[in-house]
Amino acid sequence: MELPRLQPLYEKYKDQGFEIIAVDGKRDTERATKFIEENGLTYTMLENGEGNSEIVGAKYKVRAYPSSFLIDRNGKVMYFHLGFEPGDEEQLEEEIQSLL
Amino acid sequence: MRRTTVLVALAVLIGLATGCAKVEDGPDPAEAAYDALKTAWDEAETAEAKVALATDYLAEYPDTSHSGRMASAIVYYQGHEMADPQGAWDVVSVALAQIDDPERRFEVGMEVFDLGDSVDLTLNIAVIANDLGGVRSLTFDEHETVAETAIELEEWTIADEHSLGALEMATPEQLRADYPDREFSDEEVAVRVQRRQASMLTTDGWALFNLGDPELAMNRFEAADEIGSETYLGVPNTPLYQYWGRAALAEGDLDRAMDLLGAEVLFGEEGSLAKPYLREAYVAKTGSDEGFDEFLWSTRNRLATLADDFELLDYEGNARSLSEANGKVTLLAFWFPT
Repeated sequence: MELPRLQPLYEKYKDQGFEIIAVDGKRDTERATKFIEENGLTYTMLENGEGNSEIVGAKYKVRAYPSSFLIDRNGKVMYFHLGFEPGDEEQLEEEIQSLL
Repeated sequence: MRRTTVLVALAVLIGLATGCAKVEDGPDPAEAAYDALKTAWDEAETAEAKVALATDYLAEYPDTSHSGRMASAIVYYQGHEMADPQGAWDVVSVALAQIDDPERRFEVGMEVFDLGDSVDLTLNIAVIANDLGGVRSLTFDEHETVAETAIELEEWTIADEHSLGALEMATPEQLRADYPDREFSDEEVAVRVQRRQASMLTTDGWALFNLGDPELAMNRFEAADEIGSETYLGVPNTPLYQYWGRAALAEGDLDRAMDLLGAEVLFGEEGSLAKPYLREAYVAKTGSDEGFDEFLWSTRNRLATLADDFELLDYEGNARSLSEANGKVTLLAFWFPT
């Protein structure tokens, strides 16, 4: 699963102005809170409100999980990544470094 | 195909856990054995243990409504997790030969295609598809699976044939017939039909290009592009830019190749696959690898768009918005708990 592998990246770069916002696309509060607690995730975790799942899903047209968008300091989406396989975090780290 | 593998595996696990099978009253040894398997499955902790269970079941009962699920489990755990595709194929092919029902043969055959990149299954793709085709028409999904598998196996004639077969089924009527339980709005139907058409025109274009008809291939790509089926960032959610870009590169249309592949690398769903071809196009255009990173960076700045803001609640019930992170580098990740 992707999210725990993002935690080290968050801790490494948060003081340089790096933020992670994770949105639970399926709105499963119980599982999500348990997962967040068990894995000690400390970045911003958002829950889809009733109906908001469609808004965010339709707005960002997320077709599969995990889908990640990397946004620069000016609010522009600079990179998209679908899926998360071993080794992907290296690529992601490079992209983050290039934007910081 | 790696990704579909994971999704398929999830389906297997869920299928086994919830027991999709209808359990008949009375002594049906295959069903009784399946119930026993489900119990053992929950306790099996390793891929080896799961493979052993599925293999034993399939050897004893090769032709049941569970055959597809067993094959899928073996393909996933033995073929991928244990990195033994040949072993998985050996087990499943024995069962396949004992299945009389063409639909079941097809179902099992489709699972096996997932090993196609490591085991030589070339003949089976056409045989199994024809087999079922002799009994009934293939659905859109079945044509699509055969076409996409044929692309991976570089069986271009089969890919062409089944892309066209799928295109014929890419209509609103057929889509509604495929999902009898869903109440799609006209708009949802239109979006899904567009995706079906765009995706199969793309596959057919790539098949035709490899069959030596670049002109017709380009027509297909352009038609797919006109229909459009895009992600949030404006890149097709099909392999269109990947294939079209590679075709343009092979034809020496380097500017177009760099446009298409550049967008795919940065914002496409299979961006990492496109990157070596983008580099190749860049080298062909400029004569060397030098400045490639700068080129990628300028492409990024040219194509990047502002992220749409939204507001959602956190788990303490506080309203939070994306714009709170303004001025920071932000990774916006959509996930779901497993």
